[in-house]
Amino acid sequence: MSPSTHLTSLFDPHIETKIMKILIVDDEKLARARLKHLVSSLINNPELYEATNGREALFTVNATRPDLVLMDIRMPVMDGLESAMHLSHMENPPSVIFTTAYDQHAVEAFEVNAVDYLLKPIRKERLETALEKIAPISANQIKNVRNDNQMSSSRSHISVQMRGHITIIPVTDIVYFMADNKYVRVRTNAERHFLEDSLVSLEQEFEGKFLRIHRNAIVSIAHIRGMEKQTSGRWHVHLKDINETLEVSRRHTAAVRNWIRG
Amino acid sequence: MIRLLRKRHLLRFKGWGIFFQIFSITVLFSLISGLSFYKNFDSKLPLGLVAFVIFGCLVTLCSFIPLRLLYRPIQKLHLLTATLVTLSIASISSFAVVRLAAEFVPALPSVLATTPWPPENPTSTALFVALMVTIGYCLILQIAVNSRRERMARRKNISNRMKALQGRIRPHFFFNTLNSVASLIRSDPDSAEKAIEDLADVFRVVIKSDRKLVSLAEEVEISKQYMNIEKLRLGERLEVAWHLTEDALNASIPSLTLQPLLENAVYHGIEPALEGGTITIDCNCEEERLHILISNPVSAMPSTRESGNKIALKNIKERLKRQFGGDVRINIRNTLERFNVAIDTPYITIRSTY
Repeated sequence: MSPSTHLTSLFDPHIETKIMKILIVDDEKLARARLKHLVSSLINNPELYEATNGREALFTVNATRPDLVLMDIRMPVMDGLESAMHLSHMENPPSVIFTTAYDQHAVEAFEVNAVDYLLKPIRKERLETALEKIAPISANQIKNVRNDNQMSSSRSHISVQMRGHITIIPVTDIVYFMADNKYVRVRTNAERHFLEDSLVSLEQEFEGKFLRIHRNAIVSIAHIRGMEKQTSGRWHVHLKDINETLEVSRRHTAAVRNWIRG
Repeated sequence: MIRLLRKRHLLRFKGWGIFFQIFSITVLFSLISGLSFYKNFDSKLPLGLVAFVIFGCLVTLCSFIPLRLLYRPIQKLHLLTATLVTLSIASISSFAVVRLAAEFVPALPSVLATTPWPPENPTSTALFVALMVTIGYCLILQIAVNSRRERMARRKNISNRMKALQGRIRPHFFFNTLNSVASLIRSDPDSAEKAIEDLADVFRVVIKSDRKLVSLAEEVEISKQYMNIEKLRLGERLEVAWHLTEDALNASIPSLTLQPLLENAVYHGIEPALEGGTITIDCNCEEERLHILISNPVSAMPSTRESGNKIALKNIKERLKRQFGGDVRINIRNTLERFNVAIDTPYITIRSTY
């Protein structure tokens, strides 16, 4: 098992002391085992990490800062495409190569957007060429892939940047989004975060899960307890687990009331 | 043209189609009226035309209402009769509307009177309008029928192809299995060998084009081999519990009744769940009937997986019906935690051909 000549020149310990760190993400143990074996036969003493789904991959990336992520697409909790999208928003994101056994739509989307992917069972030579030209995926590229893939494009989690780390919030935990200058405030039962996004695009993405109650706020339908008229004549929404009320603008009162009744 | 006026399409005015039809008839109607109007060109032209368009819209809309109400009875008639009835209803109702309108709206006769023809007499005017509506109908129906036919043919073609594709095993399963085997060859050659043998048996059954009757025991055997392969891949995430009675195993069912349902259970119930879960299969018979119950957990996490299109289930139902006639029941019960499919067929046994 002699390491490839190209890769030794790239990662020659005499020239550069940095060891290549690679994260393997796949929900199937056998698939991870095979990929680990292939990578070790191509690269001298790589530092290998494993994760079993997209969300775990994000935690591992935070903790270990790998150079490259080999990412499966279909996984429980969070799929590979969404995970890669959260990664692409990081500072100095790792490179990502997707792996898939059979995903017609995804493969078409990768081709169109020039994103590298490997078909399982992966050939050693194919992995070698892919390792030689690794490059980070831009946020735009991965966004286009997700759009072209025709799978549901709404995220299962929201990622928030904090001091170079990413924090992951399940969308089901989010109580409301509120626009605040150029940011969007995210409120869960326990935490508050800031997000660089637009309320309009969030509203479109999570249509059916969140309800517009005001020009500056959309609220999770699952977290609404009820609606009450204040002495000022304005309606306010009450939330299930937090003691906060949100004002409903006149324009949206009818829609919110219909939803609560319906 | 009558050939084209197939009664199925003749009266299906749904969604935007109705607006399109009303609009087209009105434009035609106003054009013809406008032509005769043009001869008598004067300063009233734009106003008169607008009045005509609005008036035409109203009349056409009114003539649609009785048709909409009589939609079902007319659909049952013979093609030619249905066409005649449709056209006569359209002309009679538009005639009636105009005649009534002329009685009660005093301004109407004077607006209509700006044209040299039809004459001022409200009855003749109404006749003229009815004629226009009828001609409009004929033309529009022809266009509508043509385009609808084409669309239907295209949709049918796609759905046939989909069915043919979905009736088989998921390609995803095949490639994933090969990947597992590629991994096992190094670490556990015996398991790899067993997996290849199982895969060969499953595929032998799947690629067979005729779906003959097999004993439930045979079907269970192939399903167990299928589950072994999946278990290799999913490890402890997949648990399977079989509850089979002796007499149920002797029952006959069409080949590949169980396996596609188990495939669905794995795909929708186990794969998206982090912790996995247990799939249970219960087969027993009672009072000359075979009961099969397949149950899988429902993932608590919001799944990004496209929801099932129920094609496997539909295929199985079709095949069971072909085999047993109408005496087949398939019930789906979806609780918060589990997704259950219950199949209930007559209990028959055959001498196995194996």
